Amino acid sequence: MFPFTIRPDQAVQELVEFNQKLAAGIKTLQEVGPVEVGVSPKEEVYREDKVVLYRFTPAVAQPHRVPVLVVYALVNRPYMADLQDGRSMIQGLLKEGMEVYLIDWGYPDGADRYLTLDDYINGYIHRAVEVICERHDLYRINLLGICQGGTFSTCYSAMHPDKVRNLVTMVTPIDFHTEGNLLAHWASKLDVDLLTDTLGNIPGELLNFTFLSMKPFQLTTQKYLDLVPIMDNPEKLKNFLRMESWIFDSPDQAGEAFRQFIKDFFQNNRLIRGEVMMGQRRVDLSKINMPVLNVFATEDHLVPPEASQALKRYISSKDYEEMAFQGGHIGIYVSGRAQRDIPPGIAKWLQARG
Amino acid sequence: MADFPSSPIDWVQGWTEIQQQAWKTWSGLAQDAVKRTAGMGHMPRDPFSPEAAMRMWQEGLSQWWNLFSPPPVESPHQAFVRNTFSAGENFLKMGGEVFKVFQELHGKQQMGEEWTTTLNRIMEQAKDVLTQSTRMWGGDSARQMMSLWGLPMESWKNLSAQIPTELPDLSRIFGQMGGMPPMMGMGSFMGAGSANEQMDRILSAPALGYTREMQERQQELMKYGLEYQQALADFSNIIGQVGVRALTLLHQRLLELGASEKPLNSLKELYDLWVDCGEQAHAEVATQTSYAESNARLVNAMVKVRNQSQKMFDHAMASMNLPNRQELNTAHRSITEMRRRVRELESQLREVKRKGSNDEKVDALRDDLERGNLAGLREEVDALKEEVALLKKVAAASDDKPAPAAAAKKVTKSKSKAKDDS
Repeated sequence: MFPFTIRPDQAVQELVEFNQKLAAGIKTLQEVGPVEVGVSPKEEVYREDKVVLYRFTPAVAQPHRVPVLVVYALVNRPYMADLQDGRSMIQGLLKEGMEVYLIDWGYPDGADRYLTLDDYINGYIHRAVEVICERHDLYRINLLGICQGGTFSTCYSAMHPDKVRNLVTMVTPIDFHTEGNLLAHWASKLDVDLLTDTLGNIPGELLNFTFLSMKPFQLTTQKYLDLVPIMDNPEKLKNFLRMESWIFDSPDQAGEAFRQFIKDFFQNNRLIRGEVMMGQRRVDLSKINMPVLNVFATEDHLVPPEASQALKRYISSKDYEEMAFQGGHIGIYVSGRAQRDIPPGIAKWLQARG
Repeated sequence: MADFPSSPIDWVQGWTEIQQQAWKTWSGLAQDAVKRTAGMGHMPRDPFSPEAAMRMWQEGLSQWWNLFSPPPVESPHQAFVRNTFSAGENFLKMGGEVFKVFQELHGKQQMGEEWTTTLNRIMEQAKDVLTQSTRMWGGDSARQMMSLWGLPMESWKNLSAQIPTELPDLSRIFGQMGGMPPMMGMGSFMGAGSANEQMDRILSAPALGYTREMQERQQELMKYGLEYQQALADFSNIIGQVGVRALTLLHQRLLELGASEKPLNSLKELYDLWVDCGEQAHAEVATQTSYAESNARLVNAMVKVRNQSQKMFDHAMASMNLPNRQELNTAHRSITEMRRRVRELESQLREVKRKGSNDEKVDALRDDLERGNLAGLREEVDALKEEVALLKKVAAASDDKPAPAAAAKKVTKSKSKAKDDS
């Protein structure tokens, strides 16, 4: 049988309708204006250089005693975790009675090119933890790290186990050389030293190019085509534009931190071998003895599940649990199903552990 | 003086209405033409054939596109609008190509040829053209022909525009000239070899004179430029292979659809299939070592050019006694080290203050409690509760006097065991 049932007039009609919808969508676009991101009210409680520590306003009168500090990646902006009403992991945690803090890394510029991973982890994260401990009269707090932020949180927990009560990692790469890790495969031959020595900070555009290259046809063209039929719906258009803003809102990466992360983690996979040095400290994953909850996405094309699940093999914690989410790297934060399962699951796990 | 009836907002509104009217007019004409000729089968090239109608419609669309897109207002969503229009354009181009294919299929079918035979031939021809085009310098023809599957190179172009390293395409220039022409009176002075090899020989020639160092820097820059051009061509070649593989997959899938009697019912379904094949082909190629090496070579080559240009620029700035990149880097490094030192001193000062204050004992106690083995304490409490329950049970069950002593002995034993365990 001929594999098409399309007649010429039908084909033209389809294209006509497509362009009519596109024109209608442009009209809606002109009316929609700028889109807001970040739904949960927060206040700045500490600032250092370009880094800001925020405290989200609790949603309950008596939040859980031990706060949780959310540590996001340096790549992309953390408002993904608080994108909009009904699609916010932060909102979900607040509703479950948690006290939530978040580190916003800001937008590095030329003056930040010599910041190292030691500065970020033993510097900014450590001081943020100290600030929260002092505010709540505690010795240690809960950490929740997302993606590269999870890797940072893991390193921090290994170097400062006395400051971390419970560790939660989300879509966090630990073993960077597992099967199917495309980013590690592409980074393997990169001359990172030349790149960093030349560019200083690594432009966000380079990272955008890399991420778009993972699915070039879907991400640069098909997703826009799929939007056209619903473009005249202002709410759906706004939802799309929020995601679009986030995808292309890529800060530059501080040069020295980028150099070390690519060389030590992506190229040489030193974390699982205990060979990563941050300042004078060695990152030894076996020092992680606090309870750990490892959340990963089963269809994650950026951080394959095996890359995250490797964590359990290297830590000494006797209380280790995994939470698998059926979805992708982004869906785990913003999909409706994720909101139903992930924040309540995390909150319940933390609350059961003091 | 005439009043201007429109505010800027009204003008935008008017512009939107005009483009919609223009669109309706063009598409109305095209639809009428197609309807008039649909079902008439393939006709010789005449103004009213479906092919001609489609061409007219495409040309009209192209004019509409150039005139009216993207919108002339400053929008926070300009990039999104550009991307959406670009996607739409790709969709329309695909539609145009599909129309031509359908025309040929229909025509050959009327002459008695099986559609599978015609499709096979069309696909093989397309692959041949794409393969030949990919072999050409830079693969530009391939990209033009298969604009959808040229998107990875478009992404690279956008990126490299952000990290300027534009150099003239020297190899293309020499390639088009048929290699380096012999200099007057010197015969084959430049020797045999490709344009690249000739260029490399020129650039490797020792620099002379007072401006020797500057010449050497420029030669280095040009050499790196050539390396970059070569790396770009190699990577483009690999992307071209993605296109060829995607065509093969599309061919297979169409034959499978025909065999399974599950036809495609719209251009969008065909487009989605087209994208799926592209993604599958890309995934196959992107996981290969050759892709990683070529991609890295491209990035490394681009950065080398940038590095060399930066050095030359720095040298020029220094010669004019102006601040340059190297000086700024030195300053930034010093500032960062000073910031670290300040933080360290602040931390030490806090520690000193803490140790000198009465809060130290309270802090120590709090630390102990926090660090204390709460789980162990809970276990001990649970064990003690069990002992008490056992004692009560024994006391209630027994009327015999020795029993309490035996129970007491047992309790004593349990207590010392618990003490040993902790």
